[in-house]
Amino acid sequence: MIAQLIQVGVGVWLMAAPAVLGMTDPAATNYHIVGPIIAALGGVAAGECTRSVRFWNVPLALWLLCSPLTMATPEAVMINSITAGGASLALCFVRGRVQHQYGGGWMALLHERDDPSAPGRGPTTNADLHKHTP
Amino acid sequence: MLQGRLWMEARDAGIPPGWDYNPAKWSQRLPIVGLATLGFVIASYLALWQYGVVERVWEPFFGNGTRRVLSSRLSFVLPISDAALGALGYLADAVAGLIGGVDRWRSMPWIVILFAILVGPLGVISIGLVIAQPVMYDSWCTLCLASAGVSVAMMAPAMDEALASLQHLKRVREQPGRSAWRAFWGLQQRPAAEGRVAA
Repeated sequence: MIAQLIQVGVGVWLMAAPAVLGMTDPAATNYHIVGPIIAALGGVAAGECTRSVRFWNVPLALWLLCSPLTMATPEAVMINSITAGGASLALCFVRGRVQHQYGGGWMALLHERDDPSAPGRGPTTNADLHKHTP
Repeated sequence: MLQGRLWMEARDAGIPPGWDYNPAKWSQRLPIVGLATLGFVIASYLALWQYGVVERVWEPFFGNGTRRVLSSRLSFVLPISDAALGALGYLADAVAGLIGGVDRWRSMPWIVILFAILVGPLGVISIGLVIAQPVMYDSWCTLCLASAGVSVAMMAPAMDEALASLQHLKRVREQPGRSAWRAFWGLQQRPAAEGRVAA
């Protein structure tokens, strides 16, 4: 969860950076668009059940890393884009602690029926079944 | 074996199979309802300013920003203002969060799914509006940002319940003769189907 909250911080920093660094367009608009999305996805990924949403930030982080190549930017902005993009990309791959169990999570919705290897089917030992059978 | 699993579902104090807590219990839902209420208060206040009921609007950081954002054309692109629409959205979230008992993930999946559907787009629209503030109007609005933060914070907590409901519907669909459609609306399975399961 900490990594995802740092990701939120990266997004918020990108929202503030144009004012702080005195940036001009197009780089300022780029930050103003990418920042809120990174922050919001980071916020959703902070939840354990939706932790995999952290990967949705991968394309945005990659775009941030590459963006200095596509638009004229002062050196300070270029360094900021690469630093923030690199940090954001790294944070996408930090899963963090997941304490609860979610019946196999979202992937369990895709598994075929009666696949014994499928997670999320609950306790299915014979002892459990006989205990509850009327 | 299927029969055993159904029985376990009925007797496990509302905890979905393979989970270690019940996502529909009140301690899980009330914080979301609280956030929705907070969002409703913020959005209502902003809407009251937009419609001239309140004379001044609170803006500690960005000077004229709130007024410029709230009186922008984008705010009034729909028949009712964006803040009024947001207030209605938060109200719907709070109501949808309150309907149903602690096992609503399996007893009334329709409200859980509706809840998730209401929470999701509200967050997406909020982010869109956050982007529009600096990009289209070169301004920030403190309370608009706070409202967007609230709607994003509601998204993840609302999704675990939806996941439990979807897993439940998938399990029902996999039972011969049982209807996921009826389960979605929380209806009894048809007697023939029940008979087959009990046999």
